[in-house]
Amino acid sequence: MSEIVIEPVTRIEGHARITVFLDDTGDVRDAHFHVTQFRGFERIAQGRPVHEMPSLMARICGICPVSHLVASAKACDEILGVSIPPVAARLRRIMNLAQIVQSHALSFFHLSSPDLLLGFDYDPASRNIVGVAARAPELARDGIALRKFGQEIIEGLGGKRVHPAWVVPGGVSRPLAAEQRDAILATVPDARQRAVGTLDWFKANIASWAEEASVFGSFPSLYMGLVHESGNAAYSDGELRVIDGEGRVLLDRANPRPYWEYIGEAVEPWSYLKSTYFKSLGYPAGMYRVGPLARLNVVDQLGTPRADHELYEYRGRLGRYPSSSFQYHWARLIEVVHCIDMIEDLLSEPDILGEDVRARAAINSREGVGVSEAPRGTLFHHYRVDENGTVQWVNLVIATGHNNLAMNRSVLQVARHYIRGGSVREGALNRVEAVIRAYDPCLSCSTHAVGQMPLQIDVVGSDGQLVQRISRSSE
Amino acid sequence: MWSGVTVNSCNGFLVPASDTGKKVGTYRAIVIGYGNSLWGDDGVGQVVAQALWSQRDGPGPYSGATIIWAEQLVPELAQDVSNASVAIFVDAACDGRPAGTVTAKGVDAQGVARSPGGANLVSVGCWEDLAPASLLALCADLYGRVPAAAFITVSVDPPTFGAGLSAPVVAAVPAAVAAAWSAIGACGAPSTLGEGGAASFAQPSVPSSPSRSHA
Repeated sequence: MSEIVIEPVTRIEGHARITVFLDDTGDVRDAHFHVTQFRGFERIAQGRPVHEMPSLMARICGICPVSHLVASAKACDEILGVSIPPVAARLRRIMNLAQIVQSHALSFFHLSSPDLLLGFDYDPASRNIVGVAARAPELARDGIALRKFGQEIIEGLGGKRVHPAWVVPGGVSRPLAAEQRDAILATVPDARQRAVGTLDWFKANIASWAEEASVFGSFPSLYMGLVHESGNAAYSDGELRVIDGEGRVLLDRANPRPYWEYIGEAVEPWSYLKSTYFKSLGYPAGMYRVGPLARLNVVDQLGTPRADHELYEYRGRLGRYPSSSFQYHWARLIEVVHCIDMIEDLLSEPDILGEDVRARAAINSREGVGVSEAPRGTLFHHYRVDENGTVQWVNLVIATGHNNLAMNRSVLQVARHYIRGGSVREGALNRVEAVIRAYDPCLSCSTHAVGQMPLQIDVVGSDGQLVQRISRSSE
Repeated sequence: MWSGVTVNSCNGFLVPASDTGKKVGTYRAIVIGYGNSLWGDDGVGQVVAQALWSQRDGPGPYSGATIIWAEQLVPELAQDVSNASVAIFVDAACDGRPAGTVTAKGVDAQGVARSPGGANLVSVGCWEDLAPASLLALCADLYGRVPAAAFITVSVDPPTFGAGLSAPVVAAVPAAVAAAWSAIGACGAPSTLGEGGAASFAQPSVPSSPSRSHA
């Protein structure tokens, strides 16, 4: 048997490696997506005061720190035994939605648009955001503007674009000022125009990616996400819904707090990333997906007219339950439009400037679970503390873990389609990476948003000897 | 060459033609010091920017300069940089020179080829990130404006994990600050700076801690 190693996987957030195992004829027998870094936050947090947890947990990631802030603060709310003021809940939602906009913009424009615009076979030296800027400056400007839109909302609310400390146990640390609200609202029309324009561009070009869409993780699976009681999408609150590939509801209106009753966690020896599965179907049959594709599948509707119009067209062209992970891109762009609309709606509520934004309490419970939708999918923070509020135990279930089984199966599907006879073109290698990018995995706070990362494929013969090496360096 | 982008040379820097001839004090200057603050000396760019921040509100021709410190250069900075007349980048450099050596040179943004195989996105620093020239190329492609630009580097030994700077790099911060101010004025007054050239600078006192940060 031979194997092909892709290391590191580029234009994702974090460090990973892909191994493709070949049979004696050089066709693909198996493939693994390895997450090769170890963070250890579940252990690092032990012994810390629970009030530190949101800020500490935000350091897990530089791309989606707000998602960790929100989930962590919700877990702390439970430990304090408080219901946070309604205005604080809305303000948290605004920051989380802004986080989704900027993170989705990073994923689509900076990481994936080089493949979509320039082509999966384009020269890797120029297949990056600078290459996009040279070919389609308007697209690159839209990406930069949407990133800034989300980041500036986060900065305006929390004082910093990355790792704001504004979301705290019991609510938020200060109310929204009128001038901040007005400044954000003034930027909404431009952001919306850019998001809709990009969505139109994607839809107009979808046919040119038909082959990739047919093999980029195109298989039925379960889907999981948070929904409101109305069936609308929920990003900071809501209840769990799990459906299968035909839309049959396996779990509905489920309190996400006892997540361990629904979700199992498995560990494979070749990755530091846990693989979660839907317990009632077992491992690995309980494979499910989360994130934009899954959210659009599980909700009845999104909840804002413009986004629901886009959702209607999306379902009309792809079917009610799209199963190709390539469509994460499309779903992501629809969510950007939806989040912008939601931000505008929330900021327009009459009591959004209310000054009652934090509930204060001592330790009233020894355990808390916080759940929210991160850009990449459903996020769980689960803490246990002692009587003094010192953290004793932590469990984190992150979106990329939910998608781990599906990502591995997607890599295998793409590799089997594009790698034949043991010979590998760079474009084939890029497609194996690109299917991972479609999921937008967030493996750590380490990012490689820009630049040509070193990458190497080794084809190793069944005798262990190197047969072929394809590499590109950062020099 | 870019099409639709007007650039001129001024003391080795690239400047928009429309801005040539302005007095130094009217320039819209932006200084970006960057690097990993948890990677030892790699964070010197941020320290220099923070020192500059506390000087920007004082009297002098550079009052009002935009000072940014960040972990790395990102495409989102292109809009702010393109709106400036002068852009100064400050970073650590693992260039083999003795630690603490301060070097200043112009940035040749047109040297960033986007033809196949020609891109050079990686900085001369100790970390994979967007290089100043690449950011300027984005300015040209996206906004049609390229500021005069200089790149101040502080040579460091290969960094290790941890906060704080080594003694020779701490000692070089005042010179790097002076180099940045000097580079801002280079288009308005003759300077020893030139494309690829190095210069030495006086060492003013380092101001107190700053209070503002851009991530």
